[in-house]
Amino acid sequence: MRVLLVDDSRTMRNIQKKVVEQLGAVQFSEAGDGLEALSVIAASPQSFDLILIDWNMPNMDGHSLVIRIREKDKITPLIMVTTEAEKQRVIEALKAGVNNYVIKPFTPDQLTERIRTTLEKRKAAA
Amino acid sequence: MSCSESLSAAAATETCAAAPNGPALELLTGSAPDARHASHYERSQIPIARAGDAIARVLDPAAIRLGPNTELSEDGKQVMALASGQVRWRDGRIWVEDVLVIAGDVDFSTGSIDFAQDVIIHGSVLDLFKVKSGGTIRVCGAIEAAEVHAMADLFVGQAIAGKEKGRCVAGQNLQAKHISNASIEAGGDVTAETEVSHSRIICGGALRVEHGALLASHVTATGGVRCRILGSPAGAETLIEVGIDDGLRRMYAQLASKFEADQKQITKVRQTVEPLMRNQKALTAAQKETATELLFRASELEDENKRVLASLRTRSEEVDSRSKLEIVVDDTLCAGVRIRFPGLEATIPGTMRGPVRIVPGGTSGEPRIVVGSVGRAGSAMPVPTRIITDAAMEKLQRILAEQL
Repeated sequence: MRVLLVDDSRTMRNIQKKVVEQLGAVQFSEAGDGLEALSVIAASPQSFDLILIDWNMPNMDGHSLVIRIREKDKITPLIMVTTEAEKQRVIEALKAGVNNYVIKPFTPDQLTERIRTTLEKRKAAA
Repeated sequence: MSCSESLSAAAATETCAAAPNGPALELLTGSAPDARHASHYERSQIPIARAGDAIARVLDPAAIRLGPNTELSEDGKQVMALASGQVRWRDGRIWVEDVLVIAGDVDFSTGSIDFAQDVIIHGSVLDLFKVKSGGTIRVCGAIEAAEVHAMADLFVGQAIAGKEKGRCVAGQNLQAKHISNASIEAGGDVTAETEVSHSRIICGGALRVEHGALLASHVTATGGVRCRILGSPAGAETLIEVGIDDGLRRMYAQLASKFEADQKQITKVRQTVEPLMRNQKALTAAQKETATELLFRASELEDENKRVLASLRTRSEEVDSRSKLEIVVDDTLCAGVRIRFPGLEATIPGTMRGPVRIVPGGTSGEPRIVVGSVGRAGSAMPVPTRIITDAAMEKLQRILAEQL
């Protein structure tokens, strides 16, 4: 499984890595903001199986990144992992095209469960 | 392979094979002292290779014959070892043997030994040398004040005479003619033919001194003890602990303080962070990120502690299965010997003729150590017994019970 982690906090990316690794063999790519994420996606020879995206990042935030990704890619599962907890924000993110939403602080089990649910839905839809 | 079998198999390997115009190969392993090692004891004179090592440079390809566990490198310029072992060569043939045979003593002519497979030493291991093997070590002579470590069995034809410095460790069983002034540790049984004296013995199995005395020593044997004479009329202190696993005790002591510190940390995080989670709107984004990091760390510590407890539990269950709470003395049990079973200790009040059997007994309200004549029903006699506490082990048992 190929996973892209987009978060300006390296600690948060490391936490997400350790959680996602529990799901099986994973190849990770990382980006510290939305612009870097677009470069990584463009340079990648294969598409990602999952992208985890933080909202508040410098240069390009997560919401804008989701919109840009969805312009060309309607399929790759996107999960927003963010401190933005207000209902309005969740709705905005879903409208932009995320498949699921995880609010920080989260426990490892909560993130794992959201990822599993998202991937299962994706598999069922395919 | 026995000592006599291997002696006939051992060959002098002093020279490289010579082609008509000069040597056929140049050895790359072992014989030159390694400049990194400061000590003369460490410089191994024996060519030993690991699988994948280049063991020789080819000087005359036509004159070389490759024996077992060797092959040429892709460019044909080197001989490579396909297995770990001792590099041997004779009459143009080079090979790697998976048993290391030392024809004489382990001394300055051989240096200390570190070999992945079985080792056979026809002589003795002299003072201050070290022998380490990933398999079985067989010493036909004696082990003096040396350090010998076998992952499997250790057999010693003569004595282990440690001179208060020697240390022998066997992953499985250890056998010697007699043992004195040494530190011995074995995962399985320890057997001495004639005597064990002035030594520290730790064994996961049983200690047996088949034809002689066990005296002036501290013994911890999970699987029980059997000897002809236990203790000394001269009264030198002998302490025998049976059914107690020193390894488990050490394992817990090593892990206990980290385990307890981790548990405190986990509790602190849960108590601090979880109330905050119920009112997340009051948290800043940075606080939420920090809370996530703390929760994750607590979760990692919990998983690590679960693994630690699982390994302790496995060891504890394994000890229970090996444990034999019994000391058998065939001839004489001397006064003054201290006996310990889990939770109980007694000092033998008077010398007794054997054969006798010492076991924990009494009632649940009044546990005692009991000495009885073997083969004579009704002869069991309780000796004055003290209740002792091993705080660390009791704590471990409590933790293991709580986690079930």
